[in-house]
Amino acid sequence: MKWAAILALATAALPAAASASAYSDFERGISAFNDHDGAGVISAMSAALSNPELPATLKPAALVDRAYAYTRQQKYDLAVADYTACLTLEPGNYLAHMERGAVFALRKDFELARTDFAEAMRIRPDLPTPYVDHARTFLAQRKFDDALKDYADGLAASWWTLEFYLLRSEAYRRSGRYPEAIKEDDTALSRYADYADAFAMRGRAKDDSGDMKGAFADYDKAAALGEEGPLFLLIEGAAQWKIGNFQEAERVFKRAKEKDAYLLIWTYLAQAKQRWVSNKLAAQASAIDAANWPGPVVKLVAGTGSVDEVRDFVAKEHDTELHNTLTCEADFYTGEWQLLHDDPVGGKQLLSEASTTCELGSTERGAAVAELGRLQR
Amino acid sequence: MRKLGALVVLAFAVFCGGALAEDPTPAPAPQSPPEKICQLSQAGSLDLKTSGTGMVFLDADLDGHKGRFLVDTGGLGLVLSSSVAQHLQGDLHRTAFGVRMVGGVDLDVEIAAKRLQIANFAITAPRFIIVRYDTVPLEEMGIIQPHALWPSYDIELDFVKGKLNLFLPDQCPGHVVYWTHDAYASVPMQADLFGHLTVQAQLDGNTIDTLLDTGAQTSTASLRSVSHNLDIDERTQGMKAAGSINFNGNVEAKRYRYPFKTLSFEGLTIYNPNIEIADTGNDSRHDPLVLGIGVLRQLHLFIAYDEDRVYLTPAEAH
Repeated sequence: MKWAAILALATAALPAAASASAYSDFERGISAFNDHDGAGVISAMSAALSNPELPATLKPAALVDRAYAYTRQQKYDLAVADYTACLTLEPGNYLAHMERGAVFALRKDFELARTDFAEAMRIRPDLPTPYVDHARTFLAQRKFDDALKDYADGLAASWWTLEFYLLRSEAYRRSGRYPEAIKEDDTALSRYADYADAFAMRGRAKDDSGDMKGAFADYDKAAALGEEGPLFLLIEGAAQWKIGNFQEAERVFKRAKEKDAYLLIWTYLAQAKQRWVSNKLAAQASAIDAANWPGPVVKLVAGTGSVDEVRDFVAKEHDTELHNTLTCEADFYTGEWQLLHDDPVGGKQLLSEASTTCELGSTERGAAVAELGRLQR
Repeated sequence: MRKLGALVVLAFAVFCGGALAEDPTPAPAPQSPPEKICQLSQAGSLDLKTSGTGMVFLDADLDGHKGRFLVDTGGLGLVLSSSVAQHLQGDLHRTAFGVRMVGGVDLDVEIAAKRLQIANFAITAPRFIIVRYDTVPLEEMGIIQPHALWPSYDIELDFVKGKLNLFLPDQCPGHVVYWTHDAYASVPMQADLFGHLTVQAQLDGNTIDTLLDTGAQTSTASLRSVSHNLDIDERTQGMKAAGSINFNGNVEAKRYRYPFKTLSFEGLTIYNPNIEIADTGNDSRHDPLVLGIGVLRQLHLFIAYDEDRVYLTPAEAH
């Protein structure tokens, strides 16, 4: 029998002051999490967790959400503390292991990260991501063979197959072992002949090894299969740029359907080599976020920034790994800028830097080497 | 019916009707004569895990593989990710009837596992429909439609305590709301072949069929349906385009937001319900409103299959 009383229930997020219970705080935290409101998550979940009435079954989610918000705020110690508290409540929570491992990896505590990823692999051997994350800690330390072993383990135990062949190809390519990289791509293509990513990856391995004819054949196949993402176009266009086909490079970059800062820079590099620059470039550049990399480079090529601005941005990056990457890119792009602005000596010096400091397999390193070759001719 | 290996019966006394009258500050009492005391028999109480996004799960062990399953009242029985299926020894079979998901994905292969253990419940030889690994969230083993797993029980979803409780049916018809003396809503429901629950709700005062779907994160109504039932379309004041939404990786639908004011179930009213509107371009006038976990978590539900009724209170009623 139903009573006729009216029950009222509001789903709109309650303000903090109105929180009447652990559950309403918890729900507020869930809503904030789904709205990507990190401060809201921390406020609401902290209130919920400090309330002794919060049921034990809800605590892990509250801790995980707050830990994730702390991670986004780069408060890694607080995030680790929350994930650890979650794991105390739920020792088998492989998601918390994966997330805590990711935080350790961000802190460059690679051994601790690997311990968590390994535990996630033990609990859920069928999940591919722990193998990938475990391998990435090795890649960050340039321990390619260890990463390759992780990928082999993931291939054997988890549900990914084709993806692991491509990850192995990438690791081989980045360590300069091009035949092995191509072999992995071949294996992927033998299992799925229309795999656009595998053609793109094989093309890149051939590209890096100097087999440009083979590279373009694979890039064409990838494009024919619908591969049109910005990264692919950047790689294909940069390959044309490297061999001096600047007009063709520009055509490739123009196929992009979405705005991309790097594609804008490379469009400039392709046009400037043909001794012209579109008057649309400045307007397109103004839509790029200058506060984030490679924003300062975009401003430079659009004529609204400076080489010093680029250098200052790089100098402010304290993460060693990222600093090295930005230094490499800054050397290449400012080197090209100086070449194009009648400073061949300074430009060549910077390109020489890029050709050695940039990581093997990076687009900028390959382009710097190609440009230096042109200058020597 | 599947066998239940370890049936846990936790009988406890629940006073229906009479007990409610003992409340010192009762709501208006029903006019019917005092009813005899009845007793709900709880067959099991399972920990309902909650994800960071508010979805709910059950921990399980499937043939030695530990993981968690999404609890999906809008789901298709028992569903297993192909990633897990590839590690099972069971034979693959064509399903007796194929199912086509939204977006045209056909589900027509099933696997018979040996044993599914969820807390004290052991289900032998459960048959799972296999879906591509990217159809279920990466970290989940699969999806469980609770009525498909426990067809003989009534089901209570208590999101505040994080519990999925199972009860023997026909114990206290009309008097199953044991957790509160306050008022509750009792809504007739229809359960289809898959156990999907449809009830009638009042959305801004207009009657609309509503599917209770714990497997959906957001609540969604089709544009054609709200146009047909509520006379709301793209030009209605307050309607805002909100990009697009993808169903099962195949169907792209236009997405809208509209400031609905109330969603009511027989007197239980949810204000400002967060309901999105989707337009797939198909004629979906009669598609139900899909009420997802974001709204359902605000409620405490008792699904009485034997009575064809759902009992609802606010989540925190006690």
